[in-house]
Amino acid sequence: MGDIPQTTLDLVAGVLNLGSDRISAATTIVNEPAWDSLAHMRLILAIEEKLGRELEPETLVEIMSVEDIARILDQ
Amino acid sequence: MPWQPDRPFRVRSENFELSPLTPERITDRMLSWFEDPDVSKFFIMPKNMTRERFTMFLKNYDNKSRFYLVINDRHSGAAIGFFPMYITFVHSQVKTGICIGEKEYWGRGVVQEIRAIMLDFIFTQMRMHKVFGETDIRNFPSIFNYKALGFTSEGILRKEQLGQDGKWHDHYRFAILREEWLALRAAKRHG
Repeated sequence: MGDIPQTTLDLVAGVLNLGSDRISAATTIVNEPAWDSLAHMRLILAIEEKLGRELEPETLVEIMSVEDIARILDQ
Repeated sequence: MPWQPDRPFRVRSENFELSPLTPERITDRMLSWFEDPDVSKFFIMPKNMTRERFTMFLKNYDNKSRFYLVINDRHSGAAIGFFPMYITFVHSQVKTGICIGEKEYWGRGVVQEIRAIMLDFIFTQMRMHKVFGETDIRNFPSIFNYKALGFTSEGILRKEQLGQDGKWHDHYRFAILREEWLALRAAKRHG
């Protein structure tokens, strides 16, 4: 796994209401209890707000990890 | 007891119980869910639903291949939502849906608990081969619940459903195979 930009870690941590030190490239929907269905909705909306556009359905459905989010925000 | 077609059944998880909804169990609270735009935004429900219309609607479910299950909180006894199921026996497939009408149960892992126990029932008692469901491409909590439970997105159904906004909406189709679910369960037991 590559390095995750701090902005991505901060975005995820902020939405999940966790410290940035709790979030890493290994954080996924399966292993982080705070990442529940409503948090997932807030995360996608936060990503779209940051990008200024709606995510394509093919991209949106693949989001399962912090790595996925970093990849999207890096595009 | 193993499931047999046209035999009534109840499925219980730690916190919930599912059983076929019958007309005498319809409550005013359930009818109020139809009028709540938050609840009905993605689970399309007819407006102005009455007890009589809902009773007629339930006649479409024969409890042999089409089921309209009510979800009850085992601790309070209150009904909190619905779980429709449609079996295609020749292909050993089950289409399912879920609607949690009581919003206090949102965001608490309720859908995953209920769907997991139903997958156990469908794959081990009914011994079906595949379970699938569909959801609006903008229904992010629903997408999460499918993926977190190990479902695979099989594609996008274009302009699949007419939304409350009068526009056609695309849907994802998610599915899981019997062997996939059993492997996930085995991994969880041994993990």
